[in-house]
Amino acid sequence: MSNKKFNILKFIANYLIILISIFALITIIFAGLLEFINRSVLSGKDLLIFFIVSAVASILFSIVFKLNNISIVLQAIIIYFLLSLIVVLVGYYVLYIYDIGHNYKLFISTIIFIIVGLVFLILFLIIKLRKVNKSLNENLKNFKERDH
Amino acid sequence: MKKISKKIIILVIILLMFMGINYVIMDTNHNVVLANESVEFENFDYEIEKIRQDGDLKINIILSWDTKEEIFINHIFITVPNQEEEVTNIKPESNLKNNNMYHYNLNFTVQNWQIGTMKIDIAYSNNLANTSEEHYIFYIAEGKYLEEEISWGNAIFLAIITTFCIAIGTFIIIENNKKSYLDNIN
Amino acid sequence: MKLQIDEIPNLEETEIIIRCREVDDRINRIGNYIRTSYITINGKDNGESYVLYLDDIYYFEAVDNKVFAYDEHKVYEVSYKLQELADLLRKTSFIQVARTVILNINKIEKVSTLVNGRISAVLINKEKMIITRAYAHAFKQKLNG
Repeated sequence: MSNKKFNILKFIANYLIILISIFALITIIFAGLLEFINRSVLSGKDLLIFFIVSAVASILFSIVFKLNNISIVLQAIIIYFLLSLIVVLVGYYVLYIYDIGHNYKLFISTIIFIIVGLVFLILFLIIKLRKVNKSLNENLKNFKERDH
Repeated sequence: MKKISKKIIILVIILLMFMGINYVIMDTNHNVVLANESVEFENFDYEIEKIRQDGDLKINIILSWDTKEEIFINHIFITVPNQEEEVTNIKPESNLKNNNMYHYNLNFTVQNWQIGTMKIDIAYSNNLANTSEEHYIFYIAEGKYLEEEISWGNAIFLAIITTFCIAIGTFIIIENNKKSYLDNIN
Repeated sequence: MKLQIDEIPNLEETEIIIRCREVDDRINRIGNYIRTSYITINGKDNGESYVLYLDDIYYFEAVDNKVFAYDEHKVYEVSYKLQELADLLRKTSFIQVARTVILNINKIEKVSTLVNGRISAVLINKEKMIITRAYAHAFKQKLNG
């Protein structure tokens, strides 16, 4: 298989995995929420909308992954933010689970906890990155001292 | 490539299982209860749809029925617990079907959020002069639009679960991206 | 261990012989250090030839089928191909970090990880190099010894 063909296949495979991950995520979240709140289930139309949203979002995610000049922390923040946005928009405009007028408690709680989750994510990544970089620089220091 | 294909297959299987559990065909007309028997309204059907108008959630109701003779709708009264609303100036679409029945299609939007059992009272008459008004009443119970406000405790619990799922999703997507280029190197 | 240094004024070329019972890690490191310190390469700048000590070179870079050596102040063109240098310098502190770059690890001040498996290296002259993901693993392995 030529290099170009392989790269195209690789890109498609990655795209599909992102698509399926997003689709599975929003299906699981909203199936659970609907079951808990309404005692109802997702319809075929809802699933189709989810699929279209996932397909479009996957394109965005694939573009984000092509950005090489951003830090690991920023990359994770962008992915988390985009996923949260998808969940909130689908819940607001498609399933009407989130609404400022009605069910505002769920809407406000979700927004607050998404922000809290983001803060935790940033802290976790900064600590992890510092640890990795510290270890790498220690190895560098040992290497240089070994040679001198 | 083999590892990526395996992951895709596993994810597709999990997804199909979820779709199988959650897929449902919209069901109508199984919760209608007639308060009075009327021989005039036949094949009565209704559809309820949530819509967003100017940022507000409203209910769009579509009713359809057949009658042997032509009728003229005067008013429609919508009643839910603690709330009554009259929907006026509604003109149904009508057409004569092959079996000489009059088919009516009525589409209207209810302004307020509905909670509880909804009573729909259609006031109609048999002629334009409105000489005698009759009522056709029915109830819609436990339709898909019926929701109760959830408590703060439940809201917080659900919000935590949602956030947790988003975090897991972020982790999976990033890790998969990392693995895909490591696979290429190796 | 015994250390003997003989100063011989009319010696043509410096010769270092290590006698040991077994070649272990320490002996290898001493050998690598000596190689890095004493291997020289000829470089040209504006038509003039120079003898370059490996210890002074920050990195080699291939541009337009030519290979250049960068020290702290100047750039020299060398007559080796990049792959030849990679083979020659395998047991020294030099390592290939990109398709066109061989870097001297001793000239790195600090490193940090980037997205998509790349590593950023800041050299002691504050210049930044990117270790691409294809070479990042080998780089980490070399640091670990």
